[in-house]
Amino acid sequence: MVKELLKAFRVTLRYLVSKPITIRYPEERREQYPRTRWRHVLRRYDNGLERCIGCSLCAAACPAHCIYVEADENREGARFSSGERYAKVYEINMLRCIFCGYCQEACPTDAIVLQKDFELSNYDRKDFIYNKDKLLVPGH
Amino acid sequence: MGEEGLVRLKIDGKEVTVPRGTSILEAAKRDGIEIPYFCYHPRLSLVGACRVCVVEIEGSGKLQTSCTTPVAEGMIVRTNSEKVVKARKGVLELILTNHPLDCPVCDKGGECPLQNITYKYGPAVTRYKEERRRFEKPVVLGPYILLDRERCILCYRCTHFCEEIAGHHQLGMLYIGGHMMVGIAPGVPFDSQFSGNTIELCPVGALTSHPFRFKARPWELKGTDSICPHCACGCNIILQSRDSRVLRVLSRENQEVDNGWLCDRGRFGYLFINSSERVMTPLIRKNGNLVQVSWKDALGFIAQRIKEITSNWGADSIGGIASYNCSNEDNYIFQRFMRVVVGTNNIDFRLYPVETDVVGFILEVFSKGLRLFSLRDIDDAEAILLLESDPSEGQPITELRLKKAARRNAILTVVNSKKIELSSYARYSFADISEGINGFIDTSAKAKKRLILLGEKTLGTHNRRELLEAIDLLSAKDPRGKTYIGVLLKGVNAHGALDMGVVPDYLPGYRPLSESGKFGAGLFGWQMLDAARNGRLKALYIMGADILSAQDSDYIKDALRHLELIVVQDSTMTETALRADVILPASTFAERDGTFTNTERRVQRFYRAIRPLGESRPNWEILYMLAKEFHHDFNYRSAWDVLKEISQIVPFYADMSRETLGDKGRQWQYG
Repeated sequence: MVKELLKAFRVTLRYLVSKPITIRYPEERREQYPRTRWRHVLRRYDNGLERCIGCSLCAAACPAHCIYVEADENREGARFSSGERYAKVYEINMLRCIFCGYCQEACPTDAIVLQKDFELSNYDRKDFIYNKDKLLVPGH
Repeated sequence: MGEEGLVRLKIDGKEVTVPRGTSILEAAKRDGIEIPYFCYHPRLSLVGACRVCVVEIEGSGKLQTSCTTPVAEGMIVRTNSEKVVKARKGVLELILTNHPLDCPVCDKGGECPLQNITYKYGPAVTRYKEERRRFEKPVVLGPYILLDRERCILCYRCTHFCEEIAGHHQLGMLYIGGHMMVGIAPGVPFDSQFSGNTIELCPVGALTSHPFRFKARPWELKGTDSICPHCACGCNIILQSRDSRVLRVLSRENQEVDNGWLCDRGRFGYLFINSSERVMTPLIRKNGNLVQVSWKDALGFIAQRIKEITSNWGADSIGGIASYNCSNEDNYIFQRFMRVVVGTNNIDFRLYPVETDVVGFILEVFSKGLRLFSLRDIDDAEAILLLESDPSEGQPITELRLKKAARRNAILTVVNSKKIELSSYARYSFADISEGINGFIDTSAKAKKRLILLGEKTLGTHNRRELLEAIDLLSAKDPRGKTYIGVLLKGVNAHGALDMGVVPDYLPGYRPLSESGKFGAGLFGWQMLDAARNGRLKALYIMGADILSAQDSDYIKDALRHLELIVVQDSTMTETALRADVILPASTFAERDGTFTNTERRVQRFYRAIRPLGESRPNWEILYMLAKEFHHDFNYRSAWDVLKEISQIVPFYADMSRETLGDKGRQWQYG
């Protein structure tokens, strides 16, 4: 019995002196794996136009039904994307999202991508509905 | 050999027997064998333009288009042989070289035959490496139709529809070869009142709807079976909605009524449902301004005022005007409310001066042995008389049937004081009613089936006696009972309103007033206005009718000014509503269940597509709530409860219920 006890304490002792596995979040941050999927962003082209064309394929692919898209037509003086169609409303309910990345996979223009920002806490449930203002990367 | 007129052939090894003259495509379709196609359409003539329906016929060297090849005895057809599969793939690849891959932004995407057929039969990848052709887009063809030239596959469906069905030669193929396009003549927009049908006919996203442009993807929409509320045809429609908004209207083919076509008023008239003109809460006029109030306050106020007015001036100082826009249930409850709760027979839905006994006239017409027409009768009638009725204005889809009849050489006689669109299709045209009737009697003597369509104007004219005599004559000369007659009234549910007893001189089901034993005949609509002007009528309860849209609106305005109380129950802020003391928000047909009775007296049900907007309620429910204020419990839980009561009270609506009406509705004869 004593032998077993010593064996166990040896493990404890070893970890007592070795470098800890945990880190002191939030002061310290660990590097994330390349394929981690967290908060979405809507990307733009280099010329500043939105990539999203409002096709709703992300919403169709979403297993949690957390994406809502309403499209509209680009007009003279109000051009948002390069073609005829753009997303007037684009909302993701972050409370429902399961971060599966299907939206990214479905997107024909690589507009919606999941990135590494995982700190998504809020004080109000309503603030978890991410609209275009929150999702779209800042333009030029 | 098979039976007389039948042909036996083998398609994909399956024995098929079809009538002689059937195309291979139709024979296959009938037997559940799928052959893809773009240009073929069961209701249009054949073109053979798309080549995607090719099949292999044993003994014939080349592949044949199955849509244009009629079946022959002993034919052996293969739809899936290696040769066919390869050819089909090739045809699709060729179509796709000139078709952009913009499905994600295309309004047809998700319900597109080209998308589906390519997915099933086409090549998985494109070998086309060159620059795709680009055109300026969209091209505005008309008020509702946009053309995307890049997407068009030149199937001719839209142009054939315009020529063969609508009879408006507005769309045509312009240029030749690679430059060919669907187009309009310069300066002549595609504004036919049937233009919207080309959107549904287009097998790609080339012709798209302007109001629906980029509004939603088809798979996001919820479809609800409904009935078009814009005219008495009663075309079957599907209301497609998303999040309490009706976004488009599609046709729902009913062979008995609409043949799958819709006019533009029906297809694009849905915009009023979500318009900003809707009344959302009850409103009461206080110091000249309309103020929002609760339902309780509004109903309490109305009940109190009606009680005051009845105790001061009697129940007959109150009048009720319902509408042919309201459903059978609404109209039934309306007359019940006026007769039982208020206690007056001042009920009507018509404001033009009517000869006192229109209903009696209609009943007399139908008591003469002629049968009530159904729209299908237009298809095989040999002589048709249009008496002072213009379906092009009032019932566009009936016009399509009449045009079809004229094209197959039915004798169309148009009697109208002015020239109407159908005049150009008429064999005989008359301006004078008596001449026209005599002309029809002479020219239709040999016809195996005759059809008379009476316009609303004939009911009130001095030609009435003459008309009855003519009908007598026709029925006397018609021992075989092959003469049919119809009364084309204005408004989606005018026949229903008459049936429901929204008239001052009959109870529901045309029972005489004496049956109720209570009161004498009330005032007609125009008599109510007169009575208001000379102070005999003190209050008007208006349901769903914008009476100020009538011709003589100054006269009506003046009449309204004399009233102590005007209650308007409507869905939008009409001119009439703006003059009301109390406005109650009513739901539109899209937000409720109910039934409409169409021009051939077919009762058809419609269902709720979206939740009632704002605080609006269905008309029947508002009257039910108001009756409660008078301590009358009408005891209905739904529109179907009301329908049940109607079926018990109106003899010729007996055994009518939500179930027995079915998807296609049912026609009810008089008596």
